[in-house]
Amino acid sequence: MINIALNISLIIFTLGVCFQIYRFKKYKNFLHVETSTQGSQKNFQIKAFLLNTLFQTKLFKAGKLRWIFHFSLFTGFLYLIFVHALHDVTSLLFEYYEPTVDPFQFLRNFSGVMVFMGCIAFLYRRVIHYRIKHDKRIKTKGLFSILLILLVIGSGFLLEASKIISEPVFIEMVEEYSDIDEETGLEDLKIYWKEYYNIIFSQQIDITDKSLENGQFLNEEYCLSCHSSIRSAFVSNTFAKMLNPIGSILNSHRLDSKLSIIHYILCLLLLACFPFSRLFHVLLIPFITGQKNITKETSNTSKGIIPSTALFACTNCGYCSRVCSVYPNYQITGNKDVLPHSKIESVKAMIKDVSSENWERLYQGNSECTMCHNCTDICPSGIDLQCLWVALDTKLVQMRHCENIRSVKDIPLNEWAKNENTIESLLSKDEMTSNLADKAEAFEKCVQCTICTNVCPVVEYNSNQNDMTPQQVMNLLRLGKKHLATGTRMVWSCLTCYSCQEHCPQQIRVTDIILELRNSGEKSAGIINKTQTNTEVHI
Amino acid sequence: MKCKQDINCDLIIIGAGFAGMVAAARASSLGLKTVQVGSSSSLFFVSGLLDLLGVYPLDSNETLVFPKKGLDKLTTDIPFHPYSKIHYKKIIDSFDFLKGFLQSGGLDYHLSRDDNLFVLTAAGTIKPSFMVPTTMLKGCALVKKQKKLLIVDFKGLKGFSAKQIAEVLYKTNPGTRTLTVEIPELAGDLNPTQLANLFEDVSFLKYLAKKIKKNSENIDLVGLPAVCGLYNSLEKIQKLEKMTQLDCFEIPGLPPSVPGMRLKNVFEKKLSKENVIFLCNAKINSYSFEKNQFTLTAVTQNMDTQIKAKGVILASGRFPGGGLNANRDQIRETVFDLPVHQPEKRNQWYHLNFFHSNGHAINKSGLETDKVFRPVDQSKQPKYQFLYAVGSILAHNDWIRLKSGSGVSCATACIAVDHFNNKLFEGAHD
Repeated sequence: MINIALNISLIIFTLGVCFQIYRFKKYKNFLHVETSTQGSQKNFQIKAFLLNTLFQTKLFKAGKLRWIFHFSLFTGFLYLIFVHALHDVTSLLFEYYEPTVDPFQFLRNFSGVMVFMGCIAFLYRRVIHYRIKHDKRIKTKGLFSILLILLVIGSGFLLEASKIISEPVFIEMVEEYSDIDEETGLEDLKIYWKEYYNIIFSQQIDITDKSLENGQFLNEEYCLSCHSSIRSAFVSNTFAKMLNPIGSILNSHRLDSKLSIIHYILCLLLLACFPFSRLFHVLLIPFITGQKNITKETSNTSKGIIPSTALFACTNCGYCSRVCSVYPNYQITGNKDVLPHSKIESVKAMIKDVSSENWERLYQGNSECTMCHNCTDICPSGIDLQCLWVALDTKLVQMRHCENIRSVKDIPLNEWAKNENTIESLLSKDEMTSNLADKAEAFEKCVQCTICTNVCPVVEYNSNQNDMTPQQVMNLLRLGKKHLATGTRMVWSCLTCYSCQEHCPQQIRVTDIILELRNSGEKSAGIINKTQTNTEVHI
Repeated sequence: MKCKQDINCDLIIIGAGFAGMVAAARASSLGLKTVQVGSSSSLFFVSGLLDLLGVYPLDSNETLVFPKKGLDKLTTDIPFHPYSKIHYKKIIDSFDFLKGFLQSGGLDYHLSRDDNLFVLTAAGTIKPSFMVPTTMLKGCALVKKQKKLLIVDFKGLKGFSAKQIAEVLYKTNPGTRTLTVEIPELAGDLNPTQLANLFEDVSFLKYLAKKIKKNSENIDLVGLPAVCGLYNSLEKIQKLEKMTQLDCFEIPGLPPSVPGMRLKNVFEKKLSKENVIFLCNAKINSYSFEKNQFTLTAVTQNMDTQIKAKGVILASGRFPGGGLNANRDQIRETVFDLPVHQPEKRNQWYHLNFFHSNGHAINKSGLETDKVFRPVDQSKQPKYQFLYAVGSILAHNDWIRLKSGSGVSCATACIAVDHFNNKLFEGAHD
C-alpha cells in the first residue's frame, strides 16, 4: 500500500519535472531577441553556482534577516530529507545510526524547529509585507508549499510524541529486542521508562526506589544502546508531556500508527507537488545563478540570454521593487507594472496567454524602467532582470504592443505606400490643430535650402537609419504626398526640438507640421500596425 | 494663449542677417541698450568671405586688386551708391571693428587693409575678397604661388567636387590631384554640419590625416571643403597640418555653409553675452511714432512684444529676408512702408539681356537715404530722425555683381549706429 503510494508520487514527481522542462522549451522563443543573442556566451559559473546553491549568498546580500530564516529552513529541511527521510540509504554512512540515538534524535528535533521557524518567518513576512499583501496575483503564492511543510513538520513532531507515550510500541519493542518478561522485571523497566521516557501506561504502576534501580539496570542492559535520553528530543518530549492527560485513550486507539501514515502521506504529497509548487525554485535557482550574470559595466558589450526558466525562478520576494529607481512613478501613476516583481508576473501571464494581459499597462510600466540595474543586482534568485526588461521591450514592440511611435519606425515606407488608398480617407482633420499639413500656404514657400536638415539633431545622430530628412518631408508635402510624408521615419523620430522651425529662412513651421503629421497619422499607423500584426507576427 | 511683454530700449535692430548682426555688435560695443528682431538663418547662406569691392568697373573683365581705386571711380560714377556716402577710412575702420569683434568670439579673420585676396572657391574659380577666414588664407593667390595642390572631398557631400576644382585649375595649377575620403560610419548623404561635427573628434582627424598622408607625394598644399569644425576651426586645421606636415586650407562652397554658421554662432554667443535682447523669428507687425519714440510690436507664435525705442535700424534685407515685398504693381517696404526706389513698371525690372553689363534695374531698387543712411521721403528729407536703413535694402547697390555685399552691410551698419549714438549723446547733453 505504502509502496504503491510512493511509486505513484515518484511518477508524478518525474512527470512534473518533465512537464516543467517541456514548458520552458515551449516558452523559450518568447523572449528570444533576434538581434542580440547571436554569439552570446552561455558561461557557466561554478563558483556562483555553488555559493548560491549551498549558502544563498545572493539572498545574504539582499537581506540578512531573511537569509537567516531562509538558511535555517534550507539546512533543516536538507537534514531531514537526507538523514531522516532517506535514512535507509544514508544510515549506511553512519554505523551507529538509530533514529532514537543522539545526536540524530536531537538533530532531528533541532532541524524540525529550524524549518518551523523558517516557515513561521515566511508567514509573518507574508502578513506584514504590504507590497505582496496588496498584489492579488502573488498574495497566495508559495503559501501552499509552506503550509504543507508545516503540516509535515507538525505531524512529524506529533508522531514522535505519540510514539514516546505509546504503550503498545513499548511492548512491541520489549518483545522484539529483549527477553525480559513479567518475571525478569518488565514492571521495573516500565516504571523506569514511565519515569524517564514519559511512556503512559494504561494501568497504575507504583514507583519504588528499588524497582527504579532495577529498571535502570535493565535499561542499560537492553535499551540504552538504541535509546538516548528522551530529553534530547526536546520538542516531541514537550508534546508528549502535554498529551499526558489523554495519553491512555490515544494509546488505545494506536495514534502512533495513524500519525505515521498521515506523516508518510504528507511527505509523499510534498514530493508529488514539488514540481508544481514554489518548492521547484530549489532546482531552478541554482540553474539560473550558474548563468553568466551581466553587470552594469558589461551590459553594453555582452548581451545575455534570458532563459524562460528565469521567469519561474522568481520567488516573489519583492526585493527588486524595494530598490526600483522608478518606484516613485508607481506611487504617482499606480501602475503596478512599473515594479519588477509585478512585471515579471505579467510576463508569465502573457506567455501563457498573450491576450490575457493588459499590454498597454505593461508597456507603459516597462518603458518607465531606467535600466539602472538595481533589480538585477539585488535579485536573490540571480535572475538577470535587466536583460528580461530589454527583451520584453523588444518583444512588445515586435508584437506592436506599444505606442505607434515606436513600431511605426520599423515599417518601411513602401508598406505605407501600399496602404495609401485604404487609409487616405481616415486622415482626419483635427479641429484642435490648424491642419498645417493640408494647407499649401504652410509649406509651399520651401526652397529646399536644406538648412532644416543641417540643424536637425536626429539627422545628425543617425543619418543611416533615417529615410527622409525634414526638407524632404516638406517636399513630399509639396508633391501632395501627405500619406507618404506621414510614413517617413523623420516624422516619427522627430525630437520636436524646433531647431528646423527656428532656422527656416522661409519661416515655415516645420516642426509644427511634423507634429501634426504625427498626430493625424496616429490612426493610420494603428491600422497598419494591426494588419502587420495579423500577417507577420507569430508567437 | 499668447504671452505679452514690454521692453524699453535705445535701439531696435530689425533683421538678424549680416548687416543686422554688425549693427547689434556695434551698438552693444557702444553700450546702447539694444533689441534685435528677426531670424539669423540667413547667415547659413553666407560663404564666410567678407568682400569690400571685388569688381569695378563692371565691364572691365578684370577683378580689382586695390578696392580703393575702384571705390574712387565708383564714387564719381554712382553718387547715390552707399559707398559714395562713406569715407574709405571709415569703411576700413568698420572692417577692423568687425575683425576685433569676431576675434574676441574666437573666430579668426585675416584683413589686409589695402588689397583684395584671391580665394579659391568650390567651383574652382578665383574670387576676390577683402577679409577672409584665416583657415582659407593659405588658399589665396594660388595662381602666383604655383604650388602643387591636393584637393580633398568627402563621399556623399553635395556641392563640393575635388575633381571639378582640379579640372578648372588645370591651366594654372597643372599638378593638382584629388582625393575622395569615405566615412564608413556615415554612408549616404552627408550634411556639412555632420561633417563639421566629426572634426571635433580627434580620431576622425587622425583618420583623415592618414588618408591625406598616403596621397601626399609631391604635394605642398591640401585644400579641404570648408567644413573643418563649427568651433575653433583654425585649431582643427592646425592639428591637421601637424599630423600631415602639410599646409592645409579650406575652400568655401555652396550653402548651407559652415563658415556662415561659425559667423552666426559667434554673433549670437557674443551678442547674448553683451545683453542684446534677441527676439528670434519675431516679425514686426505694427509700429507707431509718438514723442520721438518708436513703439513696435514684435510677434512670434506665442508672444507679443511691445518694444519702445528711440531709434530703429532697418536691416531687414531684400526679398528673401522679407524687407522688401513685390506685388503686382510695385515693390513695398514691409515694416514702415517707406518709399522704395524702383523701376516705374514691372516690365522694366529685368534687362532683356540677362548678362548685360548694366545689370538689372530691380537689383538697384531699395531705400533711398541721406548721408547717414536715414531713409528719405519724396522731399529728400529723413522721414524720422532716428530711423536708419542699412545693408542690402539700400538702393543703387547692385552688391552681387560688384561683390560688395558684406562691405556695404558692415560699413553702413557702423555709420548708422555711430550716428545714432552721437546724436543721442548730444541730445542727452541738451
